Amino acid sequence: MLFNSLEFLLFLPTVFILYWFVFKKITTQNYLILVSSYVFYGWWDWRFLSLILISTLIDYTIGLQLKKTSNLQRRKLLVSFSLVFNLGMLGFFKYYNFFVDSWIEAWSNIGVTMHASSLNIILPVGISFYTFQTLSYTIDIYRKKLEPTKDFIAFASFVSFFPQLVAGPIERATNLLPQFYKKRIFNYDYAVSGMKLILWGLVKKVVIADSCAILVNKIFENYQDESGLALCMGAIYFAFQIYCDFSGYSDIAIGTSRLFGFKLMRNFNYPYFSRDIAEFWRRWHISLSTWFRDYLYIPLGGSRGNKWFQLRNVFAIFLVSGFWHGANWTFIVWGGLNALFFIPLLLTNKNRNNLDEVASNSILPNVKELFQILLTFGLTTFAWIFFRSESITDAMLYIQQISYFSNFMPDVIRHKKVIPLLFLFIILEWFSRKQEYAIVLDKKYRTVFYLLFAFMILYYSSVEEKSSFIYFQF
Amino acid sequence: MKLFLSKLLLYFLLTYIFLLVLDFFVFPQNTNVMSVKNDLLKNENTEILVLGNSHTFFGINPDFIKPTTINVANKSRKLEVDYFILRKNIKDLKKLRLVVIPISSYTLFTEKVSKKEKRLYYNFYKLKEYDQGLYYNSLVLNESFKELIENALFKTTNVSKSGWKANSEVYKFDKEIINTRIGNVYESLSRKSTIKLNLNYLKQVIDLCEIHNVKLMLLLPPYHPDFYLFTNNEYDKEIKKYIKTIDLKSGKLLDSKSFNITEDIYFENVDHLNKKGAEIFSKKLAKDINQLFY
Repeated sequence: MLFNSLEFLLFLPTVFILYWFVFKKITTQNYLILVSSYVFYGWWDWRFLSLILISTLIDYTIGLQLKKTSNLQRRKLLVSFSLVFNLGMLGFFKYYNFFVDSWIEAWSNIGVTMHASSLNIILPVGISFYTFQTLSYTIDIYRKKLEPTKDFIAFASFVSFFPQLVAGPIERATNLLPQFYKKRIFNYDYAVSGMKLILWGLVKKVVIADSCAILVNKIFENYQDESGLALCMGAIYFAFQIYCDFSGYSDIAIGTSRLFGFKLMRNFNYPYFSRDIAEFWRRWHISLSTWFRDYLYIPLGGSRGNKWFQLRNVFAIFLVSGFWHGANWTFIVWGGLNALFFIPLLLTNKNRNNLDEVASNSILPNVKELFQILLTFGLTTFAWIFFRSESITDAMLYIQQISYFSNFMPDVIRHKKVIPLLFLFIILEWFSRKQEYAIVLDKKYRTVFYLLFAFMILYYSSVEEKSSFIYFQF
Repeated sequence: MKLFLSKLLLYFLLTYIFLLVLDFFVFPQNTNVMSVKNDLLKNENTEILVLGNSHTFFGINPDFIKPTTINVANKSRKLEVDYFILRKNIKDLKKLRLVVIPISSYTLFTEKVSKKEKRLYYNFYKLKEYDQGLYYNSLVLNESFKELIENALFKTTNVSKSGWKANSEVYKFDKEIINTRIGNVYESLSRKSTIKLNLNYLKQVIDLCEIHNVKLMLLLPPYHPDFYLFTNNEYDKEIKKYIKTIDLKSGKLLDSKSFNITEDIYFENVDHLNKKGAEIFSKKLAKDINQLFY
């Protein structure tokens, strides 16, 4: 079920009413969340519910077994089983064909013809998100940071919690699971902030991301025939498309959770106002970055050890992060590029330079800050070209085509609808950067703005052709 | 909770009222190809009425026939819809002398009218026969809001004052495209119950014209020679076979093949004329109309 669909418009109020007015006990509310989440997911393809159920059963059992034993070997075995199962499932559904094709291609490069058949595998929506979420549960129990739950319904609800099931934020068991044990009390301010987040998330997705998507698709599909300027604009549009698409989804997920009294972690924090790549990664897809930090980077040694170790760890985390996004070399190169942009900061010990808010005491950034913001945006946008392209060759040709300066022809007509939208969006985000979300508005005007936003969502949404969120594919 | 729900309801109510106003009062008045054509039907001086689908929509330019000719054909229109439009308007078109209807794959062999088509004909041609209830009638719930708003605000359509449009593209031979189009036509020949239903509508059109003393021209649309070549003329024969089974009364069947329009420059694709083709075809049709009906 898509957040921007009529089905969800009926689904959400139904669950909300049942949750607060019919099922008032914690256990029955948890049952309701579980059933609703399975309906939400099964709407797309009910067959893949079995994967979520199996993953839930296995990690629930492993959690309880870890509690029972203090034998280190046995604990290691149990957590390894959880890792192998979850990553194996992810690997099979997401990466099987990629590995087979890459293997055949590698041998063919040295003149050896190999035969292996690719499988027609459907990628289950959200598998990368919920497997990481359940992994965090078993790893945290193994590390004795979390007590395993005996309440299977609470655990199953945690794994399949519908607002964030298919595209995050990837919640930690330490944050979300305990919320299923406590009585949820309706809080007016919290629910209102949830509605505002849903509204703003829909504006980002339907108005900005989908408007950019039309041009992005045209430009990236026909890059050979586009001018250098159009290709630059295409990359910039994609930067905004992916940001508004993904952060829009996160806002709706966080907002929806708030309606049910749950607090999810923040996933984006105005990343395009970052002054360096390190700051960008502290503000972009925070739930995934911190997941990799806690479960990969730190276990590898993190920033301890000599520079070579640090470099290795940085490369590892960025490459794995790239690979997490999809079974294509383009994502790995994207991750590698981000590592390359990050390394100079690491080598000069400047990776934790910009921990404060940009232009915290002024309305506008100073020249240095503006230059830093533009440079960081330029670098991330450059890397996005690889992320969006179908293959490495396409990405290289795209970049090569940009470099033909003779080809830099202005092409205003096509862009006149999107550029003002982006301009307004940037202004709104800039003046809201110190707030949790961008539509904390003055009481005097907010009703008008909310109705205007609702109208914009209706105007830009096409009922018959709803586009799904980019991060569903991951 | 009460405050939250009441505020939420207020916002939804405001949005809902706004949408209702649009749905009932604004969007049905939109200027689009359908509503423009429906407006043409209000012209009491109309003598020649061109109905049908894309073959007549693009192929017959009323400006080359008579000033009192209107083209109210729409893409992919079924015979059932033509019948309902004619039945609704024939009484008010006091000077109507001739109705032109194409007999092609869309008129005889295509499936029933879809929910979407019914909604559009209900809202823009005001055909009560296609009342599907509040939900399916609603434009705002089922059609692109953006398009509806733009139609309401900018009121632009690219059809001529008499209801015709065609583009200037010139036919290019593409075996794959031809096979796809012709494949669809062949597949439609097997739909016996649909054909029976459409023949029944054709009979009702004939009767309606007889009752109101209006002449009827059944037109086999012009196709590119490749069409006849690739179908071995079988498609043509099938249509004629079915037409023979019904009594045309005073109606006339005109095979556009007789106009001998065969050059690529007159066609957009294998079964549609382009701008140039429409001009030459309409001029030839005007001659026949004069000879047969005036």
